[in-house]
Amino acid sequence: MSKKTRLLSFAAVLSSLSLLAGYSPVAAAAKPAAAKNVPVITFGSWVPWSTHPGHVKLLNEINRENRGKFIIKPVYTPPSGYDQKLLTELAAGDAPDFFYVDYGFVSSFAANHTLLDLNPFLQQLKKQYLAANPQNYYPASLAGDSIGGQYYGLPFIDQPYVMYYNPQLFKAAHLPMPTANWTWAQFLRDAKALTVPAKHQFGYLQASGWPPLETYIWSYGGHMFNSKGTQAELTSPADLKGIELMQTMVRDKIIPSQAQIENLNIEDLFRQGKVAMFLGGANDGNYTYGNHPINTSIAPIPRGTQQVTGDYVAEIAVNAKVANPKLVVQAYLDILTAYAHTHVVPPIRQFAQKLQSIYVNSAPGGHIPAVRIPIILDSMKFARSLRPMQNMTNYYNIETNDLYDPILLGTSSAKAAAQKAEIDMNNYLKNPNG
Amino acid sequence: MQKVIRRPRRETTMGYLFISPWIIGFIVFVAGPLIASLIISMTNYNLLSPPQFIGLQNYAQMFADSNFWLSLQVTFYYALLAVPVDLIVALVLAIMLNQNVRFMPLFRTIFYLPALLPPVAISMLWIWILNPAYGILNTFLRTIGLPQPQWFLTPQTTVPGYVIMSVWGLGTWMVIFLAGLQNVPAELYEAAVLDGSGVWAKFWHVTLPMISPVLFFNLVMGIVGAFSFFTQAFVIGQGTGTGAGVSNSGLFYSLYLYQKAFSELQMGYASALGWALFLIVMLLSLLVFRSSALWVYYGGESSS
Repeated sequence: MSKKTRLLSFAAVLSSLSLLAGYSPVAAAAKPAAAKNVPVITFGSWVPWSTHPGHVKLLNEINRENRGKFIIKPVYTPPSGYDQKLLTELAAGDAPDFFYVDYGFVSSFAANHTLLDLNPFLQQLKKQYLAANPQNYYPASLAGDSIGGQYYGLPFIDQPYVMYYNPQLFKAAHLPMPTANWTWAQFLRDAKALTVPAKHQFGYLQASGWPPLETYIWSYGGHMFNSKGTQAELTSPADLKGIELMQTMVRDKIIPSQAQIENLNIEDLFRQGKVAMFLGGANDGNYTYGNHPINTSIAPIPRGTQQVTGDYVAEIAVNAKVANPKLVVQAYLDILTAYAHTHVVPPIRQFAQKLQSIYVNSAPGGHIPAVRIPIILDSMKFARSLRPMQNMTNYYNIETNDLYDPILLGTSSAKAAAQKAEIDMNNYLKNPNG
Repeated sequence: MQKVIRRPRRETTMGYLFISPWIIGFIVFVAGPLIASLIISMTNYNLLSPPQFIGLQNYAQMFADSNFWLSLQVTFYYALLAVPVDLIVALVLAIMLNQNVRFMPLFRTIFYLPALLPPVAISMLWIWILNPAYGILNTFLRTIGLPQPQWFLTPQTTVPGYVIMSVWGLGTWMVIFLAGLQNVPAELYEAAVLDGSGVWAKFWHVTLPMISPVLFFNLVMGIVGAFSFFTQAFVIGQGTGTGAGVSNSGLFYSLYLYQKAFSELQMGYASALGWALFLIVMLLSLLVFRSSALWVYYGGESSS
């Protein structure tokens, strides 16, 4: 073999290897990028595209429909530490053109002029896209997106919290199934009857941070802060009732101890039938455990003095530094529209009404059971989002250190915990970064 | 004559060229970031907006920051417990592994093995060992009728939990002690035996002085290690509280610095914390170096 032949063979092997390494559905999705003069728009998310053929298909469809206009190229960032990585990319001027933003971060990103003010574009495009008109969205889903009336992001998913329950355990305890309008008092009675210490079976699950304490406080008419967001209200009678509800769960031993759930996936305890009720997002489904179908049902969250539930919202925002904002916003709205056909629950009302048509991989028959749909859509109506605050990390620190941990570990009374939390929250409101 | 002068100059240039990768690496990756962090420590900088010069405000802010004092308290508590305990256990293990018994290489390998595991894997393992409900340690304590601490779920036992973990991974210290022990001349022990010394007297008057330079090295490294303790606190802290254990009982200094820098993007304050940590460790190391003249034996030479 001559030197030239050897070199050619080596080059051939190298190019074959690079072809093999480079092939993936995602690469295929971005393949048209080779087309000349077609702008490539990058879309950052925590979705591992290579393992989500549905997402790749959706992206390919958008790219096909917009052939010659733009090409959306997915950029994957692992979910662990996503916000920090995104911040670093924004600081380095290397962030994608539009990207996922976790709830509560839109306002702080926008305050640093890193997000595009969407208002002028939404105004222009609202006749073309349902997703471009904020009035089409469930109001709670937009709570984190608007600053002074200007929109800096839009939600792509809004999951209200619903009560998942295990009908077999209810039946075995001779209890009626939960219905709409059930109360926290009824819930506590049921949870107690469903707790069987000898079988290590519990009525409910409450960990530090999940389900959120705000949900209980809201259901008794309380609020974490006053309407202006200048004063904490944790010692108000309504707030105390919500905090006491969590303490009752500990006192009545209807929840496993924190030692028993430390480092466990708590939702798995529900799926395994060790816990009878679990408050989770509507998208959780809980249709299967592993690959095995499980028998679960849902009910609206119990009510205190009013019917309120929390929700999980995630958003997509546009990078302020994009070269062609109008084109990027069009691609962005295409993605939001496509997502409204694939994500449970779409935050846009018109799409949410077609919830039964959304394909859900783990659901029986690939769709949400009909009996669940009115419960989810009703919950959307009374769902409430957390008020976005500056430096949410400090907010969560106070909530965990002053409320969840002392109450769940039984080291403080609800009143004493609320008093300490109120002082710390007021200090936080004065100086969020302190 | 000219040739004689030129050659060293050429050699000098060549020398610098050869070490240039290190010099460039040092300037770019060590000296540059060091100077940059000093400058950033005097600014208000969140990565997204340009830094604003604020003088020494970040340093002044530390005095009023309760979490700064808490993190110092947690770190000092850990250092005070972990460094002596680890030194003693490592020394005892090294003495045991310095005996002339069968299968000694196997024992040495077994005892050293945990030191090879990455800190994240160690953390994941110990999360389960110290699980209050299902952990093997509490199961053992329950079996022998002793109280079972809640470990990382109780502020009082969080740091002791980390200390127990640190004991498990002290294989490197043990090997260094072992090397020191093997360098102690056998004649000294023979002479001590002839003088009627027992086991304790031999350890106290021969072994300890002879391995004192090794002890000194391990002590300095232990202090530096304790003050830069991060990975285990970060991994385990995620499971409880808000990333630093229940009621911030696992808020080690390095973890707090990380939270300020990368969760809250207070790069200026985090840099100031970094410099404060540098000063603390330097001060402690200086104290240990100063004290070494009193207790470190360098084969008849003065340590000073």
